Amino acid sequence: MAAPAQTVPADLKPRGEQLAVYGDWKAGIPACFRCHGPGGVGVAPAFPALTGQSATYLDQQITAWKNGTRSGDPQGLMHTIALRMSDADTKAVTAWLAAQKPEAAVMGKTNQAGGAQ
Amino acid sequence: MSKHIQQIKPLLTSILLASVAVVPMVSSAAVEVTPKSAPNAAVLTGSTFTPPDPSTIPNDAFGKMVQLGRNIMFESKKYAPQYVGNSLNCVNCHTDGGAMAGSAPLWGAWVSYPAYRGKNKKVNTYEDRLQGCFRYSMNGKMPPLGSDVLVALSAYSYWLAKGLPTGDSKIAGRGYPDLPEPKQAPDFVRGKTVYEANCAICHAANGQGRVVNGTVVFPPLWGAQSFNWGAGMGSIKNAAKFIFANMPYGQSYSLTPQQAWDVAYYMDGHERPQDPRWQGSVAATRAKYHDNKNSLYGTKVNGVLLGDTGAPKPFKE
Repeated sequence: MAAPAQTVPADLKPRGEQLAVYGDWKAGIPACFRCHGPGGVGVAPAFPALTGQSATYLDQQITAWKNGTRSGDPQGLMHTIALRMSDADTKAVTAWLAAQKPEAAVMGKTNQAGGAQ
Repeated sequence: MSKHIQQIKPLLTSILLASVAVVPMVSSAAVEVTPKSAPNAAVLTGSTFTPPDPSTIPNDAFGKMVQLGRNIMFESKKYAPQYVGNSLNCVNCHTDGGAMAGSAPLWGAWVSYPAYRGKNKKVNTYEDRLQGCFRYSMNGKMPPLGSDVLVALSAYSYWLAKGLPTGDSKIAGRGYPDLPEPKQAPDFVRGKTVYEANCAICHAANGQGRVVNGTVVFPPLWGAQSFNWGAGMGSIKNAAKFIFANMPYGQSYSLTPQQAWDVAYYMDGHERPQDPRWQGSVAATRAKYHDNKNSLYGTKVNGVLLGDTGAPKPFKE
């Protein structure tokens, strides 16, 4: 269910943005936007939109993937990634994603690196 | 080479066992099969080098060049439009913007040049090597020596390689990890099965990748917008090595080596832009540049004589 954009707590912002836009390859976590598209707008048919969702909903999905209780996970892509995310990672990235306005979340907006990879 | 892979195999096994051990005990029937995989390409390379963090790029004239180089890696067409002729980005084959061991890291290349290359039979500087990326992998135009694009990519590579001893062309993590020769000759039909099960979800059944709002999200693997016949990725062996260590995205080392060889054959068994070193005919071009078992150029695959598309098309931005 879509929710109005929320504000990201300051302590979660850097890690949330890093995971969404750049990923953390040391931990084996690709950027959300790498597969869900620039700004997390979604890439049909397999990668749904992330922005416009509430933090609670996103958190529940990642947790369900981690526990293996969510179906609809082609090739185990999200199960693989969710297992590499700490609870703090999940909290940060879902808070950050929930605060993005879909139309404002475009690739390359930040000063760091170019894009969502 | 095969000795190398035998050495890393026990490592892979222990890593996979370790990762399985930390999986919460869940017995739900809803659990889908997850391929065993390593977190990233670096894991099996033995690399111990950590490049600097991007947040430490200095805020001065040098840092601006480094940042431009990094931007070119991620969004090649946007930051080097006059030299890029397809819709690929450097990062497609250089994971994490060229920082990742086992994914052709720029730091590994930086400390290895100048070097003699069989490809053009001369000693290449680092800038010469970068020119080749644009000419072949980006199906574009070579940026002139000393141009901002090459200076920026050199500055970024140099910055990534901070602290590495220069001249160590065998440094762990350089290029893509070696694969043993396949037990069975690589095969188009088997490769197609691997492709459909593991790759099509992102790169699409027709290999053309996916575009959203004008941005290429998943790169095309063959066809007019992909790398040309002169690119390193057109070698089945090189492609198999890349794929084994890096694909599917986030599931490094999850395919078997045979699957990697087969799907590399499938990818490279499709038509793509002409080799810019075109010799006037497919046969002559194959004889001069592709006369080896790892190139399908000038051979018939699935009923198509690959490379039989005439002279290279002029470069278009």
